[in-house]
Amino acid sequence: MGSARALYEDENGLPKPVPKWEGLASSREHDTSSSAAASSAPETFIADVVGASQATTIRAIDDFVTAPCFGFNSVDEYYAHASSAQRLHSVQVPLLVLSAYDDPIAVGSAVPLNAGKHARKDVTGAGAVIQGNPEHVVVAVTAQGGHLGWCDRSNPWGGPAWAERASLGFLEASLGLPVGAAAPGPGCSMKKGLCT
Amino acid sequence: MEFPETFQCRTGIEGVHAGVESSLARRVVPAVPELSRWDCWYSAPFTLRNGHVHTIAASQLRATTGVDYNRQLLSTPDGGTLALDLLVAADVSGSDESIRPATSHATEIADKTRFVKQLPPRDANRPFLLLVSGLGGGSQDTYVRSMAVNAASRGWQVGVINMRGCGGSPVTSPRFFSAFRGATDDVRLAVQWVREEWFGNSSPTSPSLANEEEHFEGHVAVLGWSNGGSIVNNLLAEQATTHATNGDLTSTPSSSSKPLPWRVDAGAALACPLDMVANSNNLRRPFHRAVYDRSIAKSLATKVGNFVSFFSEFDLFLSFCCCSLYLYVF
Repeated sequence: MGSARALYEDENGLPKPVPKWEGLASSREHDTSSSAAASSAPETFIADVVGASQATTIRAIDDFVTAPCFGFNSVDEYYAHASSAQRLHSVQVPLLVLSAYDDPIAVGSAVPLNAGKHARKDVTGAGAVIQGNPEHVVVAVTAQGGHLGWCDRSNPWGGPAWAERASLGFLEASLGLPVGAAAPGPGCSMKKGLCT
Repeated sequence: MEFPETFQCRTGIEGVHAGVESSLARRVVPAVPELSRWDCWYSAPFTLRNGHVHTIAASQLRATTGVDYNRQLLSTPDGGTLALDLLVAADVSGSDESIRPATSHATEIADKTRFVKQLPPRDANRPFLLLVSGLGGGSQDTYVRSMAVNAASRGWQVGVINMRGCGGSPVTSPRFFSAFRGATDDVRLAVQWVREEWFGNSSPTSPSLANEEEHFEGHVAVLGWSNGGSIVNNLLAEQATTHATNGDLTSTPSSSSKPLPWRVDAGAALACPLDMVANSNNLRRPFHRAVYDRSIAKSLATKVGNFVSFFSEFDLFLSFCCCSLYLYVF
């Protein structure tokens, strides 16, 4: 498989300008409030692929390659623009946002607005999402689960069966299809006290 | 089963959050026991009560069903290549139809992911699920394979979109992907391809216009994890705004009855960073930077350059040991 790096360098191994995302030239951008939308004049960029290929942080890679490619002046501008919470109010089809409260990577996404002492003003979390669009967005938050964890009690190193049943069940029910095998998971046999 | 119990969240955090007046929640949530009953709710294994241990253990120790994919390479308008992997079969013992055939011309990329030339059967009467993995991941990831197999066992037809450069897809453009721009274009391209290939017979060009309304148009749902979740959210927002029409200037309002070629009917975003600025700042903390940021960044960096580190897996394993030791001892 060829390396992507070759695409950014000319035959002498020197960096060469490459095209930016072609969507910058069109007017079909959702959010034009960003200053980036207007900066479509130069349609090429020179990426620091050497830096990117040796980077040890996601931020550095986004800074070297992602942000300039998609028309942003800085990596922070890219992150602010790409964050999806700000446009979930527009969604018009059923959408489930499933998060774990102890997720160490997608941090704070599981925090609803009215979470009392758990509220975090510095993070746009799930609460803001359902406030904006209750007819199309449902938010589910588990206390545990980690990032992409949701390991199952009955089979910890198999697939995250609960998260799969929950999300597939949501998609099936929202499309008016019969819900799965409808076989409740092993967890369902354990009776726990209901919250009042 | 009392429905409103889901809205009485434990400690103000855990549970389903939806407006009590939400008709979507009233219709959908009661049909899904996992979302409407505390006795079916998620609870972690006892040893994984810490989010860090849970995350690292899941990424390192999870072993899920092996799968066979048929890889379709879709060309993008800017010369890029998008690898769409269609689930053909899975290694599920005890189920006749799902046993992986011993295909002679299968190529294996990871120990449990094989590529076959055989196409999956197309059934216009069953829904189609498109999966989008987390940052730098692809169709070979354990959680992706597991979801694909589980969905297939429930009657879905499944495809996995590998974002550009991921999942061993050929790199033919200097453009990779983001959480929004470009990425949503690529996913729309895949949705459009699926709609044409799977549900193409229901297009209005069919002569039997009389039956058209009765004809099942085909459901396409998209499910993404982490960065893929951001892509799903942004895609659905665009579908309702900037990409709500075909973009064809000749189209008139009357043609709006024609289904949108990239229409997605429902979505799910799992472990999605809703606020990427806060997220990036969080990853700057020493432990996060040393463990999570570094391991994901390395996997991305190797996709950009030909720099391959043979130590990344080992690093992560070491970090895992240190982390578990630290958390258990102290």
